[in-house]
Amino acid sequence: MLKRVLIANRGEIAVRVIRACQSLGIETVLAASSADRDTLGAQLADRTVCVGPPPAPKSYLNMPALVAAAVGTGCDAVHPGYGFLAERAPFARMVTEAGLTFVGPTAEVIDMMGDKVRSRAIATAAGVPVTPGTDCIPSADAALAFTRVHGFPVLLKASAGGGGRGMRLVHDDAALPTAFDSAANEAQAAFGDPSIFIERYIERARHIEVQVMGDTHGNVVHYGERDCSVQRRYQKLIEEAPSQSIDAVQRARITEAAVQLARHVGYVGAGTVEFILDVDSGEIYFLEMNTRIQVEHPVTEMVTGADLVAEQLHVAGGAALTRRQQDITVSGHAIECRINAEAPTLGFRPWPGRLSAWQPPQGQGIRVDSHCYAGYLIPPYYDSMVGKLIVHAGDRTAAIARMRAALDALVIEGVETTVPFLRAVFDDEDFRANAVRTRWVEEDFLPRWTPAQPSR
Amino acid sequence: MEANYNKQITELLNLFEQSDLTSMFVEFDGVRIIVNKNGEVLAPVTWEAPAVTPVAAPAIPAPARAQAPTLPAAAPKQTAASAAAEPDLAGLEGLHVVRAPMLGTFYRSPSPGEPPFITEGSQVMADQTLCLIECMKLFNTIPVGVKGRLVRFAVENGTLVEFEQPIAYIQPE
Repeated sequence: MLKRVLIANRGEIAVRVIRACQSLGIETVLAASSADRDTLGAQLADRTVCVGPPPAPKSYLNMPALVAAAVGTGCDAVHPGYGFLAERAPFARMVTEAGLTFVGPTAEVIDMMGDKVRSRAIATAAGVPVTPGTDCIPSADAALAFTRVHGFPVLLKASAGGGGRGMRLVHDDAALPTAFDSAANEAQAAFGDPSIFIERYIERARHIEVQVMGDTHGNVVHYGERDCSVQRRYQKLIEEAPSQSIDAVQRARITEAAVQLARHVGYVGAGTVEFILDVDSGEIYFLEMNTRIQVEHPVTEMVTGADLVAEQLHVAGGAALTRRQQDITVSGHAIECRINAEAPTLGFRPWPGRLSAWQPPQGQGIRVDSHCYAGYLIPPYYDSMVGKLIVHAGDRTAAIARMRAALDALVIEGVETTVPFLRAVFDDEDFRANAVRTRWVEEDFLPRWTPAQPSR
Repeated sequence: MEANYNKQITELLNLFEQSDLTSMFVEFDGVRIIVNKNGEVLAPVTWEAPAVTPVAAPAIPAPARAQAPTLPAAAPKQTAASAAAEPDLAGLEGLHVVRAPMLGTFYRSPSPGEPPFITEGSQVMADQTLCLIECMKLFNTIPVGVKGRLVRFAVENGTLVEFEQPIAYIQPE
């Protein structure tokens, strides 16, 4: 079992990891930037070490400082949370080389899965269906050849990519050469690698992902799936478990495929295998694997009763999985929404500032994961998420009602937030009928939404 | 515990400042405080203590030394806030506080066994090397930053210093 863990992250996930450590009797050292000295995480951790100034490259992305902090405070492991260094293979390697345990898969597995072309090949080898597509292609002509077979629209993607960068949606021959060049240039600038591949674009898609967990003894289980189709610009806004868009046969197929893939690469720790469901054809394709705990892990915890972060720490300490597959059952329906300090009426502009009031809702089936409190200053340096509101109820309709009430009970003052937007989504007929796609927010919902303007 | 000391010492110094006294020597629980309003060097305290380094005007409370994280200690609760907001009594009294520009291991000498770059009490130039801070085998040379006299170090050799943690106090000239 681990004895003392350095948490190389901030915000709500730092608090989440500290609490999981405390539940297991593991001591915690929080690595914080100088902007985060007074956060809730710093108050909860056994110790906080200031690793650098506010800009993330000098603190939360500063690998030598983080590893030195872990070594210098006598930690035996590092938990990277999500974002920041969670999926940087060099960091996992540096942690391991310093004689510490990285809470996550090996650097080799992170590397393998981070390269999209490689991960597609691995998925194919593991028998997991991928969207029709190519390996890296050298030119726009090669892209053109692909479209002769598979037609338009197509998506050009950066092999090293993520977050929509180096990505181009192309509808016809004429646009292809320019799109190829600009995608390659953008990929080079963003990731230092201009490699581009092409795949068929699925116009009406849902995002469905499977939670997996592996241990160092070769065991892999899945914790069912999540549906994260409510997105804006590839950023998830609302997540649910289980998905109401797939049937038992499809569920069995993707959960088996996910376990297969994880086992194939010797996966250790928590991971997520993401799939795209083609709403029109009903086909499901592998998208990518995320080698970290995800923001939306609480919906899975709500329906399975598991503590996934504790399980991560458990297997990182060398223990076998606490649950076998037959011990994992899904009950009821859970929904999470991300509360961001952004003004939805002003193009979701980030809105840092001091919280003059913060009253999270309470009650049966309600969970709030947050690092906020009244008086907390949301700094301008990091992402805008102030917390996650999660509800659990017997079925989707009851969960929506519970979420709607919880959103009304939530009091946040001092900054603009996405709460008015979320309320409107939960009131929307399409959403209530589960008739959404990954581009639903941008194409259908936002154009018809008529919100009140912010008060200031 | 140290936090309590800091508070008591702050109160003590406030009382001293408001009083008619020109100098004060206090010792309790192994903490020695020697202060003087006129900026003169106090004569070495005769009745005790070669151990006491008699310092001019604003002296630094000994707990400053203890405040440095002694590692790998079994973590009594200590937040960065407390480590960084350490006794700024020094600042109040006109001393220049040298803060760690990065996290790492603090070394007073170029390598083990060699004499320290600077000894407490000596005159220093701004560009003189104060110490090394090592982060993952990379040694960073930290200059003093101001001309003056090194009153004392705030951390023990070989310990971890955090970003912005006070590492030394200089009496500027």
